[in-house]
Amino acid sequence: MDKLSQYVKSLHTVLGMNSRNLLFVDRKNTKLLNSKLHVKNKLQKNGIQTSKTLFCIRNKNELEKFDFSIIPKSFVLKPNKGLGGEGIIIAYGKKKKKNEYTEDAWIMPNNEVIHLSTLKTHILNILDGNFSIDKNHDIAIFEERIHNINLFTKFSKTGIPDIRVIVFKKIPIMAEIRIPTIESKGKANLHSGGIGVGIDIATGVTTHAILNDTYIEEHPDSHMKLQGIRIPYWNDVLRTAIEAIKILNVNFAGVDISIDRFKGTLVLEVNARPGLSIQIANRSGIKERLESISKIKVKNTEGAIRIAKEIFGGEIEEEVEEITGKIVIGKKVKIKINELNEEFLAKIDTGAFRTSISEEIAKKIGFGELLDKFNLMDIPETNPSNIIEIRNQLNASSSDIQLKEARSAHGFTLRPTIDIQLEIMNTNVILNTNVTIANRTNLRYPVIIGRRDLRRFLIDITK
Amino acid sequence: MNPIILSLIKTGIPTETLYILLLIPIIATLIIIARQVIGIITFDLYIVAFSVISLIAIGSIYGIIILAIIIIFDTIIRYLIKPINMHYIAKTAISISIISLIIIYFLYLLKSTFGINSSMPIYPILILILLTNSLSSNKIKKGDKKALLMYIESIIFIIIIYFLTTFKEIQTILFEFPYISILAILLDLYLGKITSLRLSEIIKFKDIVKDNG
Repeated sequence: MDKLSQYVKSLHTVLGMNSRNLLFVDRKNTKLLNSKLHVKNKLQKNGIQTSKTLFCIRNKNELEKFDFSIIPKSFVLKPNKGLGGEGIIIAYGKKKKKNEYTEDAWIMPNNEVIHLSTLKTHILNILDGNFSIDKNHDIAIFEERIHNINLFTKFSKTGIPDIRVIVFKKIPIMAEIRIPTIESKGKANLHSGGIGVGIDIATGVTTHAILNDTYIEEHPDSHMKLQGIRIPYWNDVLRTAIEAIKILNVNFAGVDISIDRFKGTLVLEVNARPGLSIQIANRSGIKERLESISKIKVKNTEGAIRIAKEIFGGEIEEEVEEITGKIVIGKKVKIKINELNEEFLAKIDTGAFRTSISEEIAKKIGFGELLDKFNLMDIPETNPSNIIEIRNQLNASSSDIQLKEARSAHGFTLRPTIDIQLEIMNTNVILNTNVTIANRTNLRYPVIIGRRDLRRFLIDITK
Repeated sequence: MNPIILSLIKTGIPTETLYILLLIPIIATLIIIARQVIGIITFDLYIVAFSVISLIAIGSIYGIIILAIIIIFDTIIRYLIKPINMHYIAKTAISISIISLIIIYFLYLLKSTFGINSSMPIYPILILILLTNSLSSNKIKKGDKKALLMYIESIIFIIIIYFLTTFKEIQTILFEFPYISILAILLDLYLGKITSLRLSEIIKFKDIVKDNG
């Protein structure tokens, strides 16, 4: 019963469509927010940089008269009231004409070619409202393509990544970077096949990456690692998001921000209904975060940034894991020996080179007979001279049990070792390793993990 | 039978009309539940509800067959004419025209080969054509994969609801307790205020819920 109520409680931490649409979509402002042109105009008037509008085509008449030769070789074509990246076409280059009679054509980020006639049909579809949120007549906007900063070109040469910051009551509560793929045709929208990577608000370092709502490690096209990347100009990004929301005076919205190589941070658009998958990319629920700031009032933008960093910043430990790629463990860990399918408590000992297990465990695994034989053999405590002889006497095949010299301050002792498979619990790390069988009886810890098996971990001695 | 229903039938309202009208609130509520509680992505309430009602009005398995004909041929025709760069409305016109001709052939086939009386009401068939067209016009808006999923889910949903309504007992119960339809409206009021996670979202967000639990 307790578990069930806890489960129900944890369900309430996540923001779903039902509660987003009913409780959080700012109805007074949806009309303003639905129109990208209006939002951009209002922001520009108030001194916030936005992506530059090149031309607009407002109706079929304008389309007929439009001189397509003035379109630059790279552009973004958007429906004014589009939703979820639908109807957006990105072109990054113009195709060379074979002769003067061939049609103009542009190259899209997935290397498909779009001809002028297809482009015109697409604009007609936009004007007809086929991509618009209210299915009414719409405007086609040609925008300047953002000049990606170097870091972003590593992810995607042709697409434009952007940063989505969800702002509630003028406090940024969650953020993700959206990275285009070939599948998404250069668009950053997750619905179109873009990647979402959660960002730790405190540091601007990326956390978990998702593609179609499932976790991934690297970019499918460029194979770039997606975690542990520090977003440049992070404070600027947060500041721009908050300022934009202040100007538009909305309660809850997602601000899409891009970083231009020459202009810095600029707002691409503001969404009244931001997608909810950002929660998966941040492994955290929006509702929980909304509640934790519901009573807070902020005085200014810098205050809002401070509060957001304070409240929503991830734990440092996680951050270390993400940056170093190493897992933080304490002095004692639970391990499982897969040969026995049994769990034991293990001590971490960086003073020891090899991991050791107690004789009891070795006996359980099935080395009892050999061990008894070894113990009966009366081998000198230190510096035994006749290793080869001992090996022969033991008459064991080397794949079962081996003898290793364990060095200590007094010289070296001879100990039997075996190959086992260890699983460090709660980390998903499985080690195929060679361990010493310790001769001490009544050990406090049946397993001691040595340096040799700790390469993938950082040890936190306070844990 | 409920006295109100009885007197209504006595005034000459056809039983079937009465049944369908009483069913509408219940079908509508089922659609809300499918969308807001379960999270099935279906098309507009109108499209789904009218499709179900059209199937009921045609009144036999032939309704489903006609629906299948419309869907299959609409998809094939659109696929064939997709490479031709032409206006959307012309594509729709071609699709509607060919489908109409195929339905004529189907009705003829029913009569000539199977000797089945094909005196089917025409308006439900027209509504089905109309609705399937608005279903598939969404394809150009959404990414194809998602549109397909939505399309399939909607059609399965329509067929399931249709089969539910074919149970004789439902008519008996509705005519006995017509207040169920009013109850459905009250349920709509409650569902209209629902803010909890949808079933599909609980699955989608299972990792976050696990982390927090």
